[in-house]
Amino acid sequence: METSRIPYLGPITAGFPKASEGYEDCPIDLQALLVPQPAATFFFRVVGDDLRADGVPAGAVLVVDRSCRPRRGRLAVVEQDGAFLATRLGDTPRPDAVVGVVTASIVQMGRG
Amino acid sequence: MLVHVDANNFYASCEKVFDPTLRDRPVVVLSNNDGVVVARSSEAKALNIDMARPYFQIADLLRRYDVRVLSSNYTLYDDMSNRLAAVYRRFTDALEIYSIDECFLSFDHVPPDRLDAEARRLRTTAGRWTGIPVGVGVAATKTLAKLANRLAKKVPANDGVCVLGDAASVRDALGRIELTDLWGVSRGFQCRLRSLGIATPLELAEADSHLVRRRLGVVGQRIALELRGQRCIPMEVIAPDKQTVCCSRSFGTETRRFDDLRQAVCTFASQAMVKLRRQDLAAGAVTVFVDTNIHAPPGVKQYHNARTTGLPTASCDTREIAAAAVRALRRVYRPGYSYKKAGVLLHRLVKRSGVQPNLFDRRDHGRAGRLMATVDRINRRFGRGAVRIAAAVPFGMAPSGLTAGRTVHWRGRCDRRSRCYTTRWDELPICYAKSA
Repeated sequence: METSRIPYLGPITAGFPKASEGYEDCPIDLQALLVPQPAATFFFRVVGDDLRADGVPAGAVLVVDRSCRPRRGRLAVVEQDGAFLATRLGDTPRPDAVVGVVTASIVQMGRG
Repeated sequence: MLVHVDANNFYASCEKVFDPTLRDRPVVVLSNNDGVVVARSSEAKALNIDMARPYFQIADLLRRYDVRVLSSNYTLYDDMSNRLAAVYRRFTDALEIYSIDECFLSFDHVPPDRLDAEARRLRTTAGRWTGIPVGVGVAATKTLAKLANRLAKKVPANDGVCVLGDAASVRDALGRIELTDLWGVSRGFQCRLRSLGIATPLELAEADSHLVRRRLGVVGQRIALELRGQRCIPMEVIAPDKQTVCCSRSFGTETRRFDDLRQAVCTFASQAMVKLRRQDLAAGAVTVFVDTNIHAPPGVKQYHNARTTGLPTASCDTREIAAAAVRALRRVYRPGYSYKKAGVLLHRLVKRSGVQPNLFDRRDHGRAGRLMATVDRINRRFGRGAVRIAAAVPFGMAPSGLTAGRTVHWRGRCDRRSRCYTTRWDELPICYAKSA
């Protein structure tokens, strides 16, 4: 005769509810702060130290939002002579040359 | 009204967004394994470079015209496709993702006099936000919207947007195209239409509905009715549950060894399982197929075969699926053949929450599920294949050091693949700091 084992699923436990019941929230999400518009946001790595005074040292990661309007004086990534440049926009930025406006610069300090 | 929106030269356009040296230059993208041309930039089209031509046949021509040749980078295209869909979703929730570069949208909420403006806003927003140029067609039915999009691209004065808002504009549009330009009309179907005396799209739209139904069946009737503005092909707003997930490649070099095939099959199974878990699905059966090189010179022995292995309970565990795939492979493998391609197909897919538990199955599925979730997380963070079953090898962008000196004979060619600019921290596009 064939036999089969029936699994014993274990006892059910119950106890006091957590005191924080109903007060849970999600941990802080950096993405929500830095990337409000994910479909239009791209990251770029910075080469060169020219913009250190603007909070953009070499190696920084720029958050570039293509949905923002490029205005005079904004830091932006533009296309020029076959390369991407991070620079302040002048009076009349060529609209087709502007990739997007820089909305944040991420600088890591290291963990050592 | 319905909208059909698609990206222009999608793969080539994705590459141009992230590589400023490609601006105004002809670009072609090759299929997996660098086999044939699958995408051309507008500059490459202007050079009359054919689609689907094998690369080796046109390599000289491409070099002569200084065409940039790239391997396909599906990681990048997939991300850009998702971004476009997110932009479209700002215009309507009723969105059907038809393919990687095409969507249907409902504009039923847009008043007729606003259609053109709204369609143009869709086009400029998509272009501005993602860098990808798109074409937009608006009409009463899917078939007409697709046709409108064709005219949006073909007629320069339309500037990428075409609205077929009334009977007169539909009539005019139908007069500008061939039968085979219509969605669903193949060459064979065109012949059958001709035999009924229908030679143009306009004649199809105006043909007697019962005659069309009798002689061409439901499919023909559906096309005819859609051309008259009657919706017969519904919007599939929620993507239907996937029926199968497949992963297959041609090998860089052919192989006769079972071990190579086993390694390939285990790797394909692993990749297919990642796709499966991302959609929260489990597979109830695995099919493995192997092919020799169909382009081999006459006289070379050919062999194609496939076998399916079923699982007692639908699974999302790579170890279980890979083991089943290897069992299937043992049954199809024949020594003495030179194999060019293998693949793994997962089917009998079910939602993970809907898996029928087997009363006599004592394995701990919760534990396997947690293990797989952890593996997927690690691989997202450290690169695909950083953690994998021992029988598989890392694929695609994983650092070559991970192969630990083993020669991987079968790995596909992708010599000219661009970086994964939007999905990997170590592959971001670079920009040079320049003070004003």
